[in-house]
Amino acid sequence: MLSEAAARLLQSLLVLLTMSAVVFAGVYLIGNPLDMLIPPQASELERAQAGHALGLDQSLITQYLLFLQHALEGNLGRSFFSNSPALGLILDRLPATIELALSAALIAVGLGVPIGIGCAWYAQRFGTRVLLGLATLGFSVPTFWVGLLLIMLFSVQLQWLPSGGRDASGHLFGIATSFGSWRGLSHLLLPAISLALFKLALLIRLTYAATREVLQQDFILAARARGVALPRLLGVHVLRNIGVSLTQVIGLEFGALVAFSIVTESVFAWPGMGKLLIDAINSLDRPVVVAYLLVTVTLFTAINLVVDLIALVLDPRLRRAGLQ
Amino acid sequence: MSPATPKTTVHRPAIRTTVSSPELETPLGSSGPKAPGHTLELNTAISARALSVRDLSVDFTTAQGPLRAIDRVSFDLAPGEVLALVGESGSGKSVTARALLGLTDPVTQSVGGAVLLEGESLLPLSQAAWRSRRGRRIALILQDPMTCLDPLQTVGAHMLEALRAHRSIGQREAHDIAVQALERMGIGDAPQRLRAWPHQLSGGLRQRVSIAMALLHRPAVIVADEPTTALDVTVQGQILSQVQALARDSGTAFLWITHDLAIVERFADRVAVMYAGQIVETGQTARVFSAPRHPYTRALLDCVPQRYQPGERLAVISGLAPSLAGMPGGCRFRARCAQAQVDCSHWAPATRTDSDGSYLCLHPLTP
Ligand SMILES: Nc1ncnc2c1ncn2[C@@H]1O[C@H](COP(=O)(O)OP(=O)(O)OP(=O)(O)O)[C@@H](O)[C@H]1O
Ligand code: SF4
Ligand SMILES: [Mg+2]
Repeated sequence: MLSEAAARLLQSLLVLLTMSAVVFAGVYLIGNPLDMLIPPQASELERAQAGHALGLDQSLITQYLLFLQHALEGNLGRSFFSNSPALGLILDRLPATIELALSAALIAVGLGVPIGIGCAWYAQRFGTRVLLGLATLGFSVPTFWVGLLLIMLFSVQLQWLPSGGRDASGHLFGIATSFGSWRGLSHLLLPAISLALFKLALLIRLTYAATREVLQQDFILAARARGVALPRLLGVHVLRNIGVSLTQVIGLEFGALVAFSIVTESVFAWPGMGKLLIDAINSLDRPVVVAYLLVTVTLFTAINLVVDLIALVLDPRLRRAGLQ
Repeated sequence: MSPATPKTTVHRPAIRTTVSSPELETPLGSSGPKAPGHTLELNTAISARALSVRDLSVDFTTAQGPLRAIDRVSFDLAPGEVLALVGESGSGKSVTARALLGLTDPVTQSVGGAVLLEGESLLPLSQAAWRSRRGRRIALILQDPMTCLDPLQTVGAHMLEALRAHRSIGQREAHDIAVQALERMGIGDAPQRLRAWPHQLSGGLRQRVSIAMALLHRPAVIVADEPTTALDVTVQGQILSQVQALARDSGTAFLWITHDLAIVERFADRVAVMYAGQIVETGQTARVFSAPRHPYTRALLDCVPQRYQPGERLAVISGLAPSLAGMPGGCRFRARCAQAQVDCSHWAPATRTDSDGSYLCLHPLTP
């Protein structure tokens, strides 16, 4: 089990290394950064000097290794515009995005999985058809529209919740976060719900399908015949058996929430990474784009690693070495 | 129509006994004159049984309307008795097994009749009350050892769960009980096995674990749905003799569902033969094997390879069993019956019971 975990960790590091090369190639080799940095009327000598200063006259491999070395030191270059470290810019925005993605994921998983399992157990009931129908509807409604609807209802009409912005003045475990105060939570609630809705629908359908499959299995019948009560049947046998495939989906979807929450961030004026990225792309602020990509790739890799480790814990058949 | 009417009419002596015994014939709560004393006698007779099944019916709700998969099935099980339930695929053996444990789907299946476990009527019980009987007073063993254990739980977790479903018990005590239960089923190195995952065990071992779990609470009845079909002959034999010994010692009654008539002959006290959702014959194993009374039983026995000389051609039962949707009126076996006569297509036979067992046929075979 431990050796398996170590193998996964090594795999993750390899993936990160490969991705850094792809990002480097993609952003540094396509087009010349000098065109952006140096005025067009500058002389050849000036260009060459600037190129030398940035290390652009070195060979490709040397450049990449330098980039890698700087990256390992936490230096991903400086923004062309604000001249502040690109990584710092990203990391400033990261907590807001993670906060939003985490809340959305909590809502989607916390509701979607129990509802999906319940629907599968009571498959033939009328209420089940209604819930599954609503879940299908949840797929077809665009996120921004839901966001606007929520704002109209809860902010404009009822005036219960703020329509946008983030309040991280409260602290939780010494970290400034929206979770730290009621005001923070009230700002978080609407964007989180609007971001969660699609994932919720997805999780209900997926959990429903996976649970239906598990419920057909003999070991469920055998457990019921032993007098195992329903909460244990669903909460232990079913949940663990759908757990592996479910964590995989949840992991991927969480990554997607982090990476693609831009629409929701715009609608609710949420100061996350998405907004920063769009600005950086529009202004060709390459170091920021690179920093964003690398942070996102690292996050995805970390999520995948966690998902793999959870699978190892859940399913003994995946642990090859060790036990025997 | 009666295409299978034989050319020669069998001259048949009078049916030996037509008196229905109160123990098997009378559906509980059925109408008809009954003296109070008679009812009392009936009740004491039934409470001495481990299991009494009376007119058990199971209907599937389908888009085409209800389909009757089990039709007025009745039988009894005495403590310590092994009753084999045989019959071809689709005759309703598994559906019967599930209905006995209340494991039918309440939305798509409706169950009628009466099931008495140690004298207690099960069908009217609430879900919670029925759950507390399952695994404790009546247990179920399934066919496929590869699928009947949760792959993500250790053997120990299964056994702990089975114990805790019916009594509050500490980890240590549960462990000791589990070890003993496995050892009783002939599993060596039991403490080690408790830590094993199902995929690390052979089919035979897994089935032993399942049986050990079924025996944990010393239930009155164990329903075994083809539990050794998937195992090789040696393992099968070992498990069978262990189970037989355990049944004798603990007084547990077995309803043993199987296709294998060789097993039945060696192992069962009595046999019930099922065809198209009905029990067509019951009786002591020796009697049924030597002198079957229902033509279907006869045909089944004729299909057993062991009963033939080498080189002799095996008999087969021609035709197919009727589907649930196309159940014919009259006798259900008619289209395949060598004994069928004209009246067989007009009259549905009623179960007749005598000291030799029961049968469901208008023209029973005579020895
Ligand atoms: N969910 C269901 N809906 C409709 N009909 C069903 C359903 N389950 C079983 N049946 C029908 O009930 C009948 C009895 O099936 P059952 O599984 O009890 O047969 P069996 O005697 O156990 O056969 P086998 O020896 O193959 O295990 C069959 O005709 C089958 O088609
Ligand atoms: S009633 Fe008896 S003889 Fe007539 S068809 Fe049925 S099984 Fe054959
Ligand atoms: Mg079956």
